[in-house]
Amino acid sequence: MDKIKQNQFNSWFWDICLFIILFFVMMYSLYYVQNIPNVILEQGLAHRIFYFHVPVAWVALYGPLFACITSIAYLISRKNIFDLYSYSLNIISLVFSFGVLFSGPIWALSAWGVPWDWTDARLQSFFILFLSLIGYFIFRSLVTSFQKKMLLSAYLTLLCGINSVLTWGAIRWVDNPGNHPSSVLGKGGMDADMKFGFYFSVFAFHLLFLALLRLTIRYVSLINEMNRLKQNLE
Amino acid sequence: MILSLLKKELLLIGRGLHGILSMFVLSFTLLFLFHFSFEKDSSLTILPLIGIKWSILFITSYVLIGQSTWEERESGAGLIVQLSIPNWMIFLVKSIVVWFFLIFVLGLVCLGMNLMFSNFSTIGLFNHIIFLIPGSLSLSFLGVSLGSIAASTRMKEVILPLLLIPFSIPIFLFGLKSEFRYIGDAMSLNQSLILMIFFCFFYGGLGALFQELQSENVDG
Repeated sequence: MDKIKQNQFNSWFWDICLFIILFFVMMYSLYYVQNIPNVILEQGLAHRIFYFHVPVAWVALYGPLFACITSIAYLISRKNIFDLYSYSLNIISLVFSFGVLFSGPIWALSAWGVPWDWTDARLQSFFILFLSLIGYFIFRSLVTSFQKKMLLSAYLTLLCGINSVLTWGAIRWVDNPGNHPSSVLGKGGMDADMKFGFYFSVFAFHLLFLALLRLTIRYVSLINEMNRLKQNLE
Repeated sequence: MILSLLKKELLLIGRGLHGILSMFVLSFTLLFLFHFSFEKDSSLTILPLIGIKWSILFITSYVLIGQSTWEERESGAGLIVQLSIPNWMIFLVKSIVVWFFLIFVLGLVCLGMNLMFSNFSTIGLFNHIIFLIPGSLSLSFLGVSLGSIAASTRMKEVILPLLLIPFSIPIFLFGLKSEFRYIGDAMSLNQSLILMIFFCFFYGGLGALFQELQSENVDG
């Protein structure tokens, strides 16, 4: 019993530490990117959404890949904990994908004059990734057997992971006539303050991802436990 | 054994003759729509024609896979053969039969497009089919594996388009873009073709592996 209490204390202790660090990092990141780097004149102030949009897109692309890894672990070991991780990662990925699809059109409107460019492969592929994740959740809710749900979800997570890789490759592997810029990693033209602001935002959003993931895992395991108790009562 | 499986799959698809006929009607209706909407006033260029061709592949693959999955479930054929034949083999044979029918329909669609659209023949037949072959094979592998997943839900085949659309659009987009690119730059053939062939092996391998895992789960 003491060991359980000790584990609970450790878990809460790390959560509190993480949230305190996240709070200060996020506040500083928001302050820095709104005030320090120069504004790109052609795009006006709206270009500052770049410091939100790109880090969120990075996390939205990592999420399905991490979920893919945990799904492979589930398929190999058949341990429920990996399905829990995979499901939680997909929830976070969906939230971040929505963030990308929400912030993208705002930036696009100021930069290109249109909120959505139908010729752009990156935009379409991101939208498809978002749809795949929605498909995953709808499907998951339609399978009644718990074991089957975990197995089939693992397969769909692998497909979401592939969609994520293809989204990453959409501006690299095919000719893209759209407006979307190429990878920021391939550009050496960012000013030092822009570069610092950008990478600091990336760090802040990764911390947010980690914090949300810990909360989601806890929430999903509570829901699972509740369902299990309900089934036992019935 | 493989021949028996092939025969079973052909019989299952052939059983619903109305399904195959509706697939032809659907494909040619789409062609007629595009012909009377656009081609009558001004000839469509080759790029939109390639888009139409890939869209028809996309739609007919749903019809074929949905029909085959439904027939298999209704007749109970899938459950019977699973008792004595490995799941991966059933999956591969089913996918290849679906692919064969898709290629057949696409051949007829290409013929129809050649008659209805004056610019369709500006590029050779080789250009028209080189990316369609691996593209349709990937769609078959993916569709058949998703069909078996859809059968596990309480909505059965109704859920199939919801699964197929988001997961198969990447194949559609990359296939389409590869063909566009090849028309502009013949040197890009190898790179694009390798990507499309990779899709075939990937979806085929993953689908077969998944079928085996699913059968282990059922047995266990």
